[in-house]
Amino acid sequence: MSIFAERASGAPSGGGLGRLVVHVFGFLFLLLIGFSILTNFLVAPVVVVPCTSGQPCGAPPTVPAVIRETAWRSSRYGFTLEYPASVVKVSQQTPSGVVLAVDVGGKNGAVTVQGFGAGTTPAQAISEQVRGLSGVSQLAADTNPAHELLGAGVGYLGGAGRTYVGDATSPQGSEPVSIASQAALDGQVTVSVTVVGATSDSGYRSDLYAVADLIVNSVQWHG
Amino acid sequence: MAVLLRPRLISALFPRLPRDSHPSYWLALGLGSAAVVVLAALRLFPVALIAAALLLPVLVALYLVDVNAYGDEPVWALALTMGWGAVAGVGFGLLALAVAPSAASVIVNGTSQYVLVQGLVLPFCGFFVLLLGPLVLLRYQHFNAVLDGVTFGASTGAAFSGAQAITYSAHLIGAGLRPGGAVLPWVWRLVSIGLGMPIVIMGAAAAACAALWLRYRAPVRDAEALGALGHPAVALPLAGLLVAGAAVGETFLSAGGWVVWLAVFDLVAISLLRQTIHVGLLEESAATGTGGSPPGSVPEAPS
Repeated sequence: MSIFAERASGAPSGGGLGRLVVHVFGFLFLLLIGFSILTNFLVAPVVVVPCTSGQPCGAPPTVPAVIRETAWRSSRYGFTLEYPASVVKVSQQTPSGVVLAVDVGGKNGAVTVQGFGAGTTPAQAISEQVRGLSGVSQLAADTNPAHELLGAGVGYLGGAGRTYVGDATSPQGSEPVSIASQAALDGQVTVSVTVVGATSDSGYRSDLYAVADLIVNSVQWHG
Repeated sequence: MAVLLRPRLISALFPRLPRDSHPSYWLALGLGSAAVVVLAALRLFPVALIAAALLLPVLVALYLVDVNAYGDEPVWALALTMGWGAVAGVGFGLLALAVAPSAASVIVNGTSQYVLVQGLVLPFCGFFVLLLGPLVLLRYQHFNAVLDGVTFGASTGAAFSGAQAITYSAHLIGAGLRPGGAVLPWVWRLVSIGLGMPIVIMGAAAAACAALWLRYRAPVRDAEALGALGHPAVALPLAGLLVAGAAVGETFLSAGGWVVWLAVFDLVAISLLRQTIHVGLLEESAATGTGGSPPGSVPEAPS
């Protein structure tokens, strides 16, 4: 029994499809799913074959010209780093770390550098830093072997490295982002460096990662 | 009146549907939702997102055909409702992409711009732009029932939501079939994009259009039936705020939290809509003399 008023006889007729609704809906929905699979398949990026250890792996990534190196020092842990001020700006800083905004050739990204006490392992430092990223959802480890960080480290010290994928979400939809993080421990302090950027602007041959590499390699442990 | 506040989704969004057709629509909605979850579980996130975005628009299109909602004027009426909703959705999806801060920018600069522009301004403005299509139909005598307004608002809202979600997520579609990501947050996200947010937009748009039709198309006595809620000066801003309020939850809640947030807004939108539909059905009954007292009239004293 409906609380709604009875339908008037002059109103548009309804239910012409009857139980066929489910069949028609199922057919249309499957058709659209099939079409979207086809579209995805056609516009999918070319699969990159991972480099083989010891074999040539193409030209080295391009690095933007370093016009002016600027130094930053952690007052709490004592490590220093350098960055090219022409494409990198300090956005936020604390005694133990800094967030750098990168804008290179119209491609934007963020590089966060964070120091931790010696009790924190490089793997823990990466997890903690990535967990603290705001604005990124659906975060998961990047299982693409081509994106694996080989020989990860910070300031020429070997350590841990991980890559992640996620999405920058909004009420309107999702946009994929890529995250690469490296950390190392020198016995007294652990430094973790994480770079975040849109997936389309990221990758091991991108300018964003090239700038991040400059910063990672510039870390001096007791500046 | 308390019963009217019960949020019955199918009868509210598809008011001209006969009661015996409701199970078929529930089944279609359930199967479509299950398909979206299965696609997400298989990590086919871009496909799942398109399926979620198209779930309600496809169901609405079927409903329009099923009840012959546009009568003898299907082409241009469809163009001004679902067609306009899709165009406006693509436009606002592109606009959102243009003004959206990147993930890096959110990390660097915080979320204030994101909350204001994408959480409040765009949903609020987008809602009023999507109403422009149905507003054109308000001029035509052929569509003079309040339920016509409800149908036009709901169908335009469904097309707008789907088109906007697909346009904004175009980068995801270009990232391959299985771009990676955590499954459970994705499922919550798809439920929000495919059901939660579209239902708020459809309900709010339908309620706003019902208020417009009630004010400018219904008999004078019916125009007062809903009180202040039936006046466009109250109903339209209220509906816009409902949409913006639903959207802004995304900016500070987790994926699962936003689903719960949207469920509350869905309940409010559907309850609001059901009251306007009740008036529309009474109006139709009164017009054809099939029973029921006209809305707003004083009940007859027992003889």
